[in-house]
Amino acid sequence: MTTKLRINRIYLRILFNFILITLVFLIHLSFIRAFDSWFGYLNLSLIFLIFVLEINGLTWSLGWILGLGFFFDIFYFLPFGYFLLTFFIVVLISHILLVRVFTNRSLYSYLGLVFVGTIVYEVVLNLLIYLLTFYSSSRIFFLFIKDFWNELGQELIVNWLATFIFFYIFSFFNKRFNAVFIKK
Amino acid sequence: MVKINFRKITFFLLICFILIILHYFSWLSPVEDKIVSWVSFPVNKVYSKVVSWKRGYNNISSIQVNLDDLEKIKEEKNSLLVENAKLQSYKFENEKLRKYLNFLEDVEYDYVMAGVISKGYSINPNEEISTILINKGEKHGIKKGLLVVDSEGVVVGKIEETNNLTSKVSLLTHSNCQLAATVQNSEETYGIVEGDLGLTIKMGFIPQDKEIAQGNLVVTSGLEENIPRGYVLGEVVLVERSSNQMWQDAVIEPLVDLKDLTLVSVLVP
Repeated sequence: MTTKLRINRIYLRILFNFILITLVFLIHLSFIRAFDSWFGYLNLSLIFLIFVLEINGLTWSLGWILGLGFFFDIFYFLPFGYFLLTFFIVVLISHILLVRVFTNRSLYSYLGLVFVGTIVYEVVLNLLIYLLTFYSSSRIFFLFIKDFWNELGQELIVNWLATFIFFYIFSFFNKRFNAVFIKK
Repeated sequence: MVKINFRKITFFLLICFILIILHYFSWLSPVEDKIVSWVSFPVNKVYSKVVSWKRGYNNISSIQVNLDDLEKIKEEKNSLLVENAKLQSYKFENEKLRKYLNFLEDVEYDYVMAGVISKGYSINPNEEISTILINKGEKHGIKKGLLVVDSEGVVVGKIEETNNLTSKVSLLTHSNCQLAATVQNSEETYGIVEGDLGLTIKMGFIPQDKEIAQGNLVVTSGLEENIPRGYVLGEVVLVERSSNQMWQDAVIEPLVDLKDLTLVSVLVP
């Protein structure tokens, strides 16, 4: 393949990823957050981020962090950089686990990464928010609030269900994922 | 040993650092404003559509015609019509008297209509549903502390933070939303209304000797800057009184369903 064609393909890939990042963010911001009950806890951005890490590796997932983190930081009224930092820590820990522990691209590795990623995301983000108000108010540390654990549990279940569905839809069209059951 | 590409990560962290610096020096503002203005309209449309589906689903699942309730509502409507007519004549008389006595003119308030685009993030997990993001900001004259009402003029919250094109609203049930209010009983009792755990509203510091009853309406008292008097917050559903306390508390139920807001108005002086 000539260099020019290769560069064109990279640009097209970057454009495609940018459009996908925008769509994922819009769906997360408007569609999912409009629901109050279980479906409202779905963290679509996180699921896609971990998915990109599994399929395309660390470089492309860092690009996704820049896009998603930037959008989240300009829309939500938290100090700029909070979401960038949170997504970065999630992806870094997921990358280490993917290389060291979950060494194949099976459904189990995806589920495991989504499980760990969800917990890391909520703990890191809530910790950053708690530090923001540490001196201004006497709020109870979030880990001691029962509702935090209730909502985390609901988020884990909804994220897992979405991961299942997404995995099978993607596997139907693409063979880059391994089988569900690990063959010896 | 896990191989981490430190060069990539360093490069990425450098870009993040540059973005943060550019943001805090407001050099990224044109880009951010452009993105927000492009995204706000479709996001508001999708959000409103989802909320209307939810409303439709809830209505279908709770349809039960209760003829007794219907009769009560009809009676209540008639008595409200009569009361409204009396109030209109008092209003007219009040305006005439003010003119005669050359009172200073009341501050006129404008309404800035805004669409809800999402729910916000909150420090307390159970208060996340008590904040919303709207698609109007400082550019439209909105600033922190302004009152937010729904399409019928019932109070839903206060502006907590603003950006150039968006704002964050703390709804009545959020602990950050505190309003000076009056209970419309025989003595016009004043107090502070505050959200409680994202679920309800409480009015505290009410002297024990004041008589407050279930069903009393609570309205804004006008004692706060930029918040006019007379806007309805809700009605008293429970009075918590203890003989060994100096104050009594009233639990107030908002008149509007705060979970299904799609369009609000901000009162701008």
